[in-house]
Amino acid sequence: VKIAWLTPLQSASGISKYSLVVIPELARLADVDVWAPRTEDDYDCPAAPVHVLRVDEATVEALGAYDVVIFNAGNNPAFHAEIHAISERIAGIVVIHDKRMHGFFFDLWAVLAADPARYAAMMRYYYGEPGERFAAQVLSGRANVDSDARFGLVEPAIFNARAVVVHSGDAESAVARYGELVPVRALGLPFGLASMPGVDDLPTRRELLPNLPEERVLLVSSGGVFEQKRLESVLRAMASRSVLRERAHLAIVGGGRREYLQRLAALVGELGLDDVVTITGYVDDRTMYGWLAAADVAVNLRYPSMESGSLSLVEQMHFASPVVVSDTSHYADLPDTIALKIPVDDREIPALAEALESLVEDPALRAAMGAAACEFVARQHDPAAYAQALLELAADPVAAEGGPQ
Amino acid sequence: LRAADRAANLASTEELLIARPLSAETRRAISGFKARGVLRDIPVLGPAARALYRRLRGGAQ
Repeated sequence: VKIAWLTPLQSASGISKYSLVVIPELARLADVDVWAPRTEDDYDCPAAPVHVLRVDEATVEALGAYDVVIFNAGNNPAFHAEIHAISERIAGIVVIHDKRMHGFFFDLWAVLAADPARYAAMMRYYYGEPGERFAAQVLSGRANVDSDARFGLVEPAIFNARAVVVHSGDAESAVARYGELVPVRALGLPFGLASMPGVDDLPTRRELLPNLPEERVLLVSSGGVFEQKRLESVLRAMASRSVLRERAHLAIVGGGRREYLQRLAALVGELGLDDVVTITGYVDDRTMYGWLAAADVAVNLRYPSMESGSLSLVEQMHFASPVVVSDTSHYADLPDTIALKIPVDDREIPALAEALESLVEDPALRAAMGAAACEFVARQHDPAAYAQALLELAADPVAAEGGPQ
Repeated sequence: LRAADRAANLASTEELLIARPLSAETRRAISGFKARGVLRDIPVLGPAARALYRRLRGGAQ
């Protein structure tokens, strides 16, 4: 089977990392070519030939020669605009990494293409008058693109799909209403550190936080920093308990919008947590994995949940951290032996403080949950099994009817 | 998915609007959106668009 794998390889994209994990395993089973938009800071991908993905007729023609074309759809236009443009021309298997694509299509149509009428018309096509009314609210600045789960706008990403792949049963439900029209498979989110660049000789905890006393329990939030991670609640929980202020340290590790990082930094000051919290901003892979290896506890709240699966969560579990997550979406499906789950209502902050305190005070609990988490990732997120399942889907006669439309 | 979905996604904005005009409320919202100067006169794809997307959506990790 000859497969074209369309993905970003940009090193700031989690979907690039997912591709680096999947491609070597898929390339053992099939003839795989990677097609990626060329950007600055692209990862090398030695496991398969890499072609530059351009939106032109020559690319469409070249992709038409493959048995199966697999599109990786994500909600960041900086990494996925070209892939989406090609998916409008070529049918194939679409891997949905985000349950909410509304921001992607709003930016693409209303802002970049300067065509807000198209955005409104498509919202009405898929969601009727309620969708058009919501579009009007967004265009008027009275609603946020991601504020209403009814209007996830995944549809334009899958209208040309022969099959849809998601990472979780929770995400499967977001596209299940199309299940009679197109095969939908929840295949999990594969992870393996072996394919990741820059993971040798990780920095130690002493190198990352030279002044942190040995006995302090290190809590780490890793990956993109954005509102849905509830970090303001995490900071307020930290401030609410003397045990957390005196015996723990929270590191928020990852990039995000500058204004949001500044808001978090201001809150740290307001809450008197300057000595208890470190905010790193964007870090390279080696540094990120150093933080994960040093972590005693991982915090990964999410509400509302926008994504089909969480790479940062899988990474945290791989590094044997017990995880504190929101009791929602696919996070709620984690076994209680590896995750403490926090309600997404007004009990959030006290429940979070309680959960973090229990882990800070109990090293045996941390060790047991961390070991279980690591074992869970090895069992449930195996890249070889994932590639096999993907190939079986690609061989499905319905899914394999790809080609130029 | 369906021929209708394919047709809608590949239709021009004009074709979509001829099929079903937008409400007066939506047209007012579009006028306001344009008046606020949010629109960009740059290609949808490529480095300039990518830089703008990054400003709009923030860097990933």
